[in-house]
Amino acid sequence: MSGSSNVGMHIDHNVKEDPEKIAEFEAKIANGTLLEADDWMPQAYRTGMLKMAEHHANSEIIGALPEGEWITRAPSLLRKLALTAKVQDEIGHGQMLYRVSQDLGKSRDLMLRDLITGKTKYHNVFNYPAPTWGDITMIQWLIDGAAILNQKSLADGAYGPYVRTMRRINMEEAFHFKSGEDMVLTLMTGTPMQRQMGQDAFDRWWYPSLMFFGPPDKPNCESLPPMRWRMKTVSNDNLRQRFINRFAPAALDLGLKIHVVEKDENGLVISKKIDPNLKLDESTGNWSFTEPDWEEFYRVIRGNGPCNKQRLGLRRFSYEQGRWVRQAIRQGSTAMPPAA
Amino acid sequence: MISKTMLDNQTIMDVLRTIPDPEMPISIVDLGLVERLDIQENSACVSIDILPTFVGCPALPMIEKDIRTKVQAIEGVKEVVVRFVYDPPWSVDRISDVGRKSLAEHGVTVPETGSKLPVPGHDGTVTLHTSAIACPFCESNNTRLESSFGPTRCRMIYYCDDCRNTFEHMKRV
Repeated sequence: MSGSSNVGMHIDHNVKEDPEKIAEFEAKIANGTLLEADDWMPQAYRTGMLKMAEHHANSEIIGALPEGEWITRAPSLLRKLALTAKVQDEIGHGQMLYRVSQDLGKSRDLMLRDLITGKTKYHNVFNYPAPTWGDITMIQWLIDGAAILNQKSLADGAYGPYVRTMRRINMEEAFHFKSGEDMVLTLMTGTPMQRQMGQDAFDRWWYPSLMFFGPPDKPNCESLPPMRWRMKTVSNDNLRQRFINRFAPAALDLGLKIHVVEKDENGLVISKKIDPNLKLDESTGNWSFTEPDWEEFYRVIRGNGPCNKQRLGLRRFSYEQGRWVRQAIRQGSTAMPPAA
Repeated sequence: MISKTMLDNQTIMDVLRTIPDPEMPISIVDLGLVERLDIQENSACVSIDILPTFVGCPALPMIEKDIRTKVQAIEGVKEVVVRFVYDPPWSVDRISDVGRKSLAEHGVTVPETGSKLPVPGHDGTVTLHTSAIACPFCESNNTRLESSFGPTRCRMIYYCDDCRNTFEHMKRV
């Protein structure tokens, strides 16, 4: 689960690329040929793709943390099995995405260290708390739903190794999303207490899922490198609108109310009111809505969200505890006799 | 109106062939999950035995639901019984050639037929398969195991040193 839309691009504009090579590169992208790891690519493309794939990999392994907490507390054996599988799935996706990133030029160990020192980021959405089973349900329905929309657009990109990984990830994601639908249906057709739990969790996750697609686009986003070079294929706002068009009516059908909320520093809702702007424009098929609080978004990205410290602390703990395993594997492989 | 169409195994199999595995582009028939079909014509009751690939596979409830929905929709079927059975144990040998091809295009390889581990009652002879696993994208044998644990219970992560793609290899069972 996760996406990579809000990756900041830091491009070294001092690198002078050969215009002929750039033209060849852009022609390749224009005719739909996938780029391979050993192909020539502009420095800005390599840096941008690396940031995206690394951010995505980080998000997979951090995203497993809030869900991992709930494995022992899942309400049934079947749910426990599904959640265990989902966590394994995310770690596996993380491994494949770190591999893609490595081939773009950064060592895996450096990526893991940059993650725990806060030098690189992961998806903002995982800095919010999951205090009830309702939250796990909403993560698996809303956040996975958002991730699928995003990743489907990324699977349509130009960088072969990332695209091929994304195609496999998307099939697995679709499977977990179906479980998510089943979970939300169970909750919303349950007892009044279950429905209340669903509503409370929905209130906590609706806005983080709208923020999931990243901040509003710049007006010329389609001509900027991420889209021009098909690192991304659909703009943030466009994806967000697709998400709302699908999930707002689905939520209402389930009996959920869509609120604009105010949260405290722990990410818990302290006040809410029905979103006054939420309505379907019959002529366009688009739902209008109240924009997310983008100040909150940037505050959380900068490290001041409800769970940033907790998530990174656990990742650091795991990195430190696993050091002897990495050493054993490395030494083990050098000590092995050569293959016959 | 009473349908004169007699239900036969082929009709049911054709429908089962349209049901994909929830996580891979392969039908449950090509994956070798369907062990037995039984049609009791009088009652139009279809009973289907399914072999799970891995014990504890989280996709089973979804597969069961898909089978029920699709088979129930066949004209003349009144009742569908889906049973999960564990004997004989499922093996990668049950995956069809069509299935292998479609998995390979997706970046998932399958151990060659006959390479499964011996099961209880087997005479103990094991055929060793030491050949490298060919990359599904470029067919190079210059590949290596990246991690024994992949994104699902049934798969490992491999990496091709030539085309520099990861792919997934199904565990040999």
